[in-house]
Amino acid sequence: MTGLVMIIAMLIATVLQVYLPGHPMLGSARCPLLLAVVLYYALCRPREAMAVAACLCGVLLDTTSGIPLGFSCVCFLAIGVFASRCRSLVLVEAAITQAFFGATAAFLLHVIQFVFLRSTDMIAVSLGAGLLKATGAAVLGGLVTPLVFVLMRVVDASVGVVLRRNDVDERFGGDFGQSA
Amino acid sequence: MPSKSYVLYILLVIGVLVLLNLPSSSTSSVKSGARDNLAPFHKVVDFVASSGSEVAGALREIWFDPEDERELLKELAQLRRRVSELEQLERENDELRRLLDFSKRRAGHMVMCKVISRGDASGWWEIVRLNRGAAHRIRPGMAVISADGLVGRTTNVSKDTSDVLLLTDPLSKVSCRLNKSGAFGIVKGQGVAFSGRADLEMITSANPARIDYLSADKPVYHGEEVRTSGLGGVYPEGLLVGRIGNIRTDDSQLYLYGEVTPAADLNGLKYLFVVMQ
Repeated sequence: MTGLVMIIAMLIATVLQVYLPGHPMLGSARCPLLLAVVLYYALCRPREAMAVAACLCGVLLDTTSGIPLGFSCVCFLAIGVFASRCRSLVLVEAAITQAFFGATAAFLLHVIQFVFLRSTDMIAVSLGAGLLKATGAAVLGGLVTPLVFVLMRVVDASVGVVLRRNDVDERFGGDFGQSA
Repeated sequence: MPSKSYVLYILLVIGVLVLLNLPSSSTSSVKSGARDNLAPFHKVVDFVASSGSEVAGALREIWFDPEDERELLKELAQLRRRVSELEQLERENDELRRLLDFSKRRAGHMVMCKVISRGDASGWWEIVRLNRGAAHRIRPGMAVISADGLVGRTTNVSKDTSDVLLLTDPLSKVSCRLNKSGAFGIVKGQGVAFSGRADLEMITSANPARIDYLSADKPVYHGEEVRTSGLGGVYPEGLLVGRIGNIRTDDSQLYLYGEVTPAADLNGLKYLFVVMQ
């Protein structure tokens, strides 16, 4: 079931990322929905799931854009590994943490993409426009990542991949739902 | 005995290495296959978005009015919606007639396509995706025009879709000639303006493109038509690109450059023609 949810989430994220418009004030950056999905698996799910999600999201991003195949897999894997290593140090449940990870990862991803694509002459975007796009992506990443986390959690809980808070309370006799 | 996780990680690393080292022919076939498979999803999202905006418009008419007038306003909203639909149909009819007329004039040389999505997932390229590809004999590097003028050229072509790099992408360069003065120049895309807008057509408005290397010896007129020169082998001669705006002299004083406003409405691309050569 985890695989099915992951694939559906990634397909929806891909189509929406292509379809949703970028705003010129944000450098026409696209909503980094695929990155948000990777971050969800990195911060909330086992590392194996993160690795698979990072590779698949990378392939999807590369096939729907002009980026060379495999490049985004490496970027997503690096971001995913870093985020999953940090998860014991941060409060993953907090929206501000998710927003911070989303913004930072989106900024870094766009900077890496800009440096690579510019150095290989695949784009002719100026440094200013590239930085504007990276900043725009950071803003969008900060906004959409908590939203994606909420949606993914709801879907995962509804199909039984993860336990709802109330179920945890019932099963373990604690007060996890309220204390959280 | 290695654990399952290690086997998975090793497989993923091997997979990524294979992807990174695939020959370009295999890479393009993988990308084409993925684009063809995702095309129906784009069509569904496009349909849902256009229907959703209509329904939202009708609901807005009802929700934002006082309670006692709700029924009348509901009826009024329905009638307005109907009028709006009819107006839209009329506009579409006019546009299709115009396109048909345009298509007849250049019959046999073009393939008519519909825009199914705008922009790529990474946001680094200004492209639109068309619903026709190699199955309709479209190849990379073909000129793409609308009824108003040049739009760009095809880049990645799969069996059922083609990507069009827009005239306003910084990678785009078109050899052009001014209609009146006859001066030659290169039109380059200038990317996206900071002050543009992102509207329902799902594309951002672009800065005017720029024409460089105009001879300083020839007089250049404001508002003059810029047409393709036919040099370079990609764009046929005589396609309208746009009109020239502000003209300035380069720092070297050797040539002029000026802003070019594209003739085609790049914000509202719906139907395009791929020029077959």
